[in-house]
Amino acid sequence: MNRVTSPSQKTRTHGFDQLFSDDAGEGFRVKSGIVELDEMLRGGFMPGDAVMLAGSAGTGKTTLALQYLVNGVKLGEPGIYVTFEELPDQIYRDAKNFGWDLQRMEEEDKFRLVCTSPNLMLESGNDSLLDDVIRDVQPRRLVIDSLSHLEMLVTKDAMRMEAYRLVRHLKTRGVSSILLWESPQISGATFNVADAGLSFLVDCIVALKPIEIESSLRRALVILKMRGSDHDKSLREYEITSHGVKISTPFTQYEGLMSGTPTRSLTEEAANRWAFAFAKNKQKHS
Amino acid sequence: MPKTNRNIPEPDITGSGRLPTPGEHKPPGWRPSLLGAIPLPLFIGLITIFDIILPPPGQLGSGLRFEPAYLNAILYTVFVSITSFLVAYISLKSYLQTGFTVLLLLGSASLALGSTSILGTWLANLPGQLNAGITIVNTGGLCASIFHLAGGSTTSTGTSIENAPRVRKPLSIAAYAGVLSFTTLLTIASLGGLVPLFFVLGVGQTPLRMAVLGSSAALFAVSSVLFARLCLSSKSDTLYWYFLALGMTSIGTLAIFFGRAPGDPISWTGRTAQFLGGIYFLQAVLTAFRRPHPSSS
Repeated sequence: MNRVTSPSQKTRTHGFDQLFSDDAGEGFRVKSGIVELDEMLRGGFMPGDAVMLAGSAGTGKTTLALQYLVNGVKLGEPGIYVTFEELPDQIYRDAKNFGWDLQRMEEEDKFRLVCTSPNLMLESGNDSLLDDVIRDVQPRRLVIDSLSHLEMLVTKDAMRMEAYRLVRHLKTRGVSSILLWESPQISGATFNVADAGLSFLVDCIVALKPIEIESSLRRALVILKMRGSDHDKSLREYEITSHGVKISTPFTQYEGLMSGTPTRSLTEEAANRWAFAFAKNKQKHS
Repeated sequence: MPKTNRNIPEPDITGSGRLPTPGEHKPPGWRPSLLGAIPLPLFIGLITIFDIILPPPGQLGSGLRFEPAYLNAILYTVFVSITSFLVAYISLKSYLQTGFTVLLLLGSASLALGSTSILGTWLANLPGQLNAGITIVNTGGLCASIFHLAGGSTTSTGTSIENAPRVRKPLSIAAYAGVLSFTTLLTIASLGGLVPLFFVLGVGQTPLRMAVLGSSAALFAVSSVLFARLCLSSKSDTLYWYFLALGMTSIGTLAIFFGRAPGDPISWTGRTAQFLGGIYFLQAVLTAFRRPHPSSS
């Protein structure tokens, strides 16, 4: 309890005071290390912000979150990955496929992988089980994978309270956090992250959404909210490559992506037909 | 007969009880508007007749000339420049989407035609700037015809390159800025008297202008034939109106080649052909905005 309201000497050095005195120069941001995402965020996440990374299964939430931590380590910002889902070996293996050696980072005390169960986290309450590891690694970044697991164990109202407590706990320690949220929605109506009533608790919401366009599955990333900063409002396409998440151009040619019914705009459709007449026709008939 | 998906007939269970033979059910064929093609021979005939009956430039009476101030400039702006800019716009959008260089060539051609037409025809109304105006319009026409021929050739031979997404924007900016820079430099040079004379008042057009106009007309005609061939194989309405537009532009340019003086009957016949060509360009753009009939896709 005391650690939240009256931070200890050591905790305070990693709290808001340190955060804003050392790094809070003009325009200081917590860079994701993904150039295009940082451009969308106008330089990066705001320091100390709680970010919700929402998306349905297979959208690359874990990959993006790990990439954020790995890039943070490269920038000299230690990180912690808390998972309720996957086993450590599985995460080490998957990360290695992207060229990220998490075990080596752990040996260098720049990274910690915490594999625990959501009920242990809930039971620990304000005496968070994360405190020891936070003290140990002194992280600037932290990822919780995922809030959806906590939701399984508590009621909706209790979930909001637990999420609030967790977010506040991390904020007071000056840790920029990413909270993963599994949205059940794969297609159809608007992307709903407000169901659990968590959207107001976080400072930034990054949504990952699978989209069916011309009978193939593509992925879109959009920043739905970012407190205290301007941000790119366009939906950008992204891919999960062998080096992690790669964000490309906005879906400027399509409308209705968020509602799950993407259609090309009239001009884009006409431009496509124009191209078909002059360029593609020949290919078709040759 | 009730149909399911895309002209596939359902078995006629209430009638004869047999499925139609292949010859009995054909999808509607591609029927281009033949009305649009009629002006081509009509204008060629008119130009031939006027060329036979009109006297040489020196003997052309003022009664055979009609050239009110600004009328030509207004008509060129509406029917040639604006329609060309529309083609340039949709070609640019198309290129950015797909990356086919042929689209960039067509867009550059249209931008050259549109920008020089608007500048040249309005400048020709300024005192003592008739030659400058004619120089700009005719040179821009030649430039456009070269781009069209390049576009037609690459499309016909299937050698149109598909540029990667990252180079499309810089390439299109370079191409369009290059065309506009050319138009600007040409205008400055023409107004400054740095370009050899194209037209001498009271004498008529110079051999240089005849060479430029003749070349433009020939290149537009060849481009038109190339796109017509492509149209026949692809049965595209867009290509149909595009090749007719190029044909009309070629005939219009040819008429000016045979013209005795600005405002004479041959000039107006040529101008009308070019304006009609502009309408055809617009029609080509409009067909792209319409959802194609299943049989023509």
